[in-house]
Amino acid sequence: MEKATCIGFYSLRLVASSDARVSEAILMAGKRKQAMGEPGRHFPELPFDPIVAALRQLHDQIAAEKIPDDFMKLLEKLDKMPAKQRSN
Amino acid sequence: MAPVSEPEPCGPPVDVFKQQMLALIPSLRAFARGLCSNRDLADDLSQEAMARAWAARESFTPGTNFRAWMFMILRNEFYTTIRKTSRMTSWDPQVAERLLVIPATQHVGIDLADIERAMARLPVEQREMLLLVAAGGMSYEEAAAVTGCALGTVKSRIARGRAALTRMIDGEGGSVAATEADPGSGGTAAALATP
Repeated sequence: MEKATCIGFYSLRLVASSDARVSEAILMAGKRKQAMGEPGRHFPELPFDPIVAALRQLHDQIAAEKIPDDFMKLLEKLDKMPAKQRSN
Repeated sequence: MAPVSEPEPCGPPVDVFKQQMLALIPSLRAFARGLCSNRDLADDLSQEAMARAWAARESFTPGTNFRAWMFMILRNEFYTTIRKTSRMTSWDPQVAERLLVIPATQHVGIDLADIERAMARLPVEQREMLLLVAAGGMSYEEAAAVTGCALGTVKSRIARGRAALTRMIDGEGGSVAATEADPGSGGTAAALATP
């Protein structure tokens, strides 16, 4: 079981256990890592803490999943869907 | 007779709109999963939100915050679904199985399974704020736009949500499972409170 928690001014590292479910979160102060392909993602004013790091890790795990084919099929179908008229 | 020109569409070009939606799919799925704790339902919500956004694309003003607009639609879809069904309490079987096999005492730092369990127990109004800002990296202003709340409400919900998570994680030697409603000791809650 590998565990280490290190909270410093510039970095926070979480390595919780040997279980694959529990993984590593590294946050860098100043330039925090932004998720690839996610527009506008930034992390304001929150002080470093392991809970926030874990929440980001959860988010990033889901965001890194392969997008199901259903989504691509939907995008293909959208062209045939008309836009609603503005109501004003 | 002079030809009558078609009214100009108000939304962005369809290709641009579609590309913007495509880029947001990962974070939409993550937000939806955090809200409802059910993979299939989360994907259904995300797709429904995309379809609604597409249908309403001409009401989107280019240059404004597309991400906040999409998240707002997804959030509305979630609350609409909540009102219609009680499915929100069901857990993704894969998630539930995964959480069960992780011993609650087997950690020193933060166990992601504990965080998931704790998040599922938070009031949804606090959960959504943490998902938007802490997990999703939105600014307070964006989160306020998505939820229709005042900035102060966003901040206070985040502070309360983080404090509650901390209490649940700290309680009972770190096992969230044993800390149902009692917030337990303050622990690091004070340090986590939003300034």
